[in-house]
Amino acid sequence: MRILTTALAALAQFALSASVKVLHLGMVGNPYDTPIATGILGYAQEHKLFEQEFKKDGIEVKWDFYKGTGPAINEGLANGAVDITSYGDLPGIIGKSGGIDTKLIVPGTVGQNIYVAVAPKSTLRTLQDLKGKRVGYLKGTYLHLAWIRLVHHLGLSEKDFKIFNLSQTEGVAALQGGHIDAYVGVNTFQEMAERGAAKILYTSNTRDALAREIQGFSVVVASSRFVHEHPDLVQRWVNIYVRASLATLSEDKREEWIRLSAKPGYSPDNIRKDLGENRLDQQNAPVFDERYLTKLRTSVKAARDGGLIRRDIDAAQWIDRSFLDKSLRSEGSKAPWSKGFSKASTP
Amino acid sequence: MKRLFRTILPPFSVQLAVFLAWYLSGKYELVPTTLLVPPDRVWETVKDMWSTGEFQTHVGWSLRRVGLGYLIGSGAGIALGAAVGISRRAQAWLGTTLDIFKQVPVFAWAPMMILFFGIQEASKLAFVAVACFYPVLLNTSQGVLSVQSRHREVGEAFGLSRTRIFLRIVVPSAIPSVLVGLRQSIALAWMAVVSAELLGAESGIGYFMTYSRLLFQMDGVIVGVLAVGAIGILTNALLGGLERWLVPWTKEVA
Repeated sequence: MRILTTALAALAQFALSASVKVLHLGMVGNPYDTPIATGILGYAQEHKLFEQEFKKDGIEVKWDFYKGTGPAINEGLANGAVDITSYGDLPGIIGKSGGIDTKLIVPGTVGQNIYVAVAPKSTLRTLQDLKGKRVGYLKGTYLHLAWIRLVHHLGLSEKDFKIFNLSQTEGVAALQGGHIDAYVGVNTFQEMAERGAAKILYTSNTRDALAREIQGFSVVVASSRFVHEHPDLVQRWVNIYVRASLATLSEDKREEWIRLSAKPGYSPDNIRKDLGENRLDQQNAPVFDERYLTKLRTSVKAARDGGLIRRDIDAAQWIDRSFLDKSLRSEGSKAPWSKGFSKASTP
Repeated sequence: MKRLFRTILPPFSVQLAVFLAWYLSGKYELVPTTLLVPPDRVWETVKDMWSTGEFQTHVGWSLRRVGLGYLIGSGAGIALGAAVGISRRAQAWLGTTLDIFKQVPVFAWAPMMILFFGIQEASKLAFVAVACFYPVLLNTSQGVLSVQSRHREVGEAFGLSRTRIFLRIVVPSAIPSVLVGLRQSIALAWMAVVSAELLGAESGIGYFMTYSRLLFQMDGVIVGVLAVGAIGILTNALLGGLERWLVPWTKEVA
């Protein structure tokens, strides 16, 4: 009898442990080491939307910031330390291709720019001039993927350059020391160019078709185990996400968006310029439209062409739109695309 | 058989246990195999990399960087260590400077390295050399200083010249200590090369491991760890041989 009760107690314990007490959000760390999310999740974090939603079930929402960014989040997903994450297209594709079982549940935001910078005194004028030259960037980032697409567009491949794997800080030092001819980096080069500390040879911060093709984007991904065990929680999470993204779509929220994006410690001025002529409703709309799917497919192809993944992945298989569809049915009536937004905004 | 049990088993028993745990945890999926890739798949990766020559290229570059950097760093360490140990004047001129720079971790040198040596081979060699320098320097100067004064006095009593005292008495007594430094620094050289290859490299085991981790190809990371480990065992054995040959009268240290 005693054995039986002990066994039952153990079983009850087991059943309890299967219920969720903590929801682990894997977040991309920033250079300032502040535990602050940006963009849509930044909005949700600031207004404690997830915390309020899950408090009634006694579920704690943990925002885990990974200093090792995408690659570290992939490791977290693989060992079950991350339930849901929002990160770059490339780490998402790498993780999925590497055998981490995930579902792409929400599209994330589109429009991360790249800047190809050269030294102020450089005689290089166009991207074509870079052929055979020394180019630096940080491998495995969305910049890497954007660069692959950019050089393909020029009819070249990565092999036409001498590539150096450098972080942006090292890259700037190497550029100034004349050790490399160009560096592919993020929006801080705008400010450097204004000071005369660098020249920008190319940026995707324009409205042309090429820029749209190579801009980076993010993916919101959940571990398949979590989706399988707790579809209800995932649904509620997506509902909140959609509500947060709807709050960021209107152009009169532009300054608010810039403030949110700069909050971890970035320069608001840089972010304002980097946002350029991007429209918030275009970059933040939570819809799996044709434009997003095309971007995802070309990202996978570029990763494959660049040797960044060994196994192809099927974008359509990766996406699980059931949660988003359901959310949009309940929340989406307030959304601009219910008035034909999606068609009108596709370039 | 009993001898085999006593000589072979002890040094390898831990490795054997680790290997078994690795194999079994993969077989029964006790840990995510995407992170801890099972031995058979790692072996496949090694074979693939070997047939394309990728393995040899990475190991070759790292060996080259470690070898040259080690020669430069420990060479400088022996020369300066001996100078500081023998000559009061050298100690007076260099001692403080060496003490100050000793406190700086190797990694803190990285920006300086880019500035002075660029981002190609020179800075990687410099990085390894700096890492090797201090253990050899300190052990050498200590070895030279610890030569017992009565041994010197015997030399002087026999009327030996200063050069002969140095060669016949100081050098042999200092060698064991120098070798300790050489052993310490070879391990540091490998750590340094892995970090040096994070910077602007396109080859080498360190680069390969970092890049594999970035691309979530953990089999590559494990291949790198195993390669560094295997080379470590070989170089240690090599230095042990050197020690037995140079100073057969002392017991092997470490």
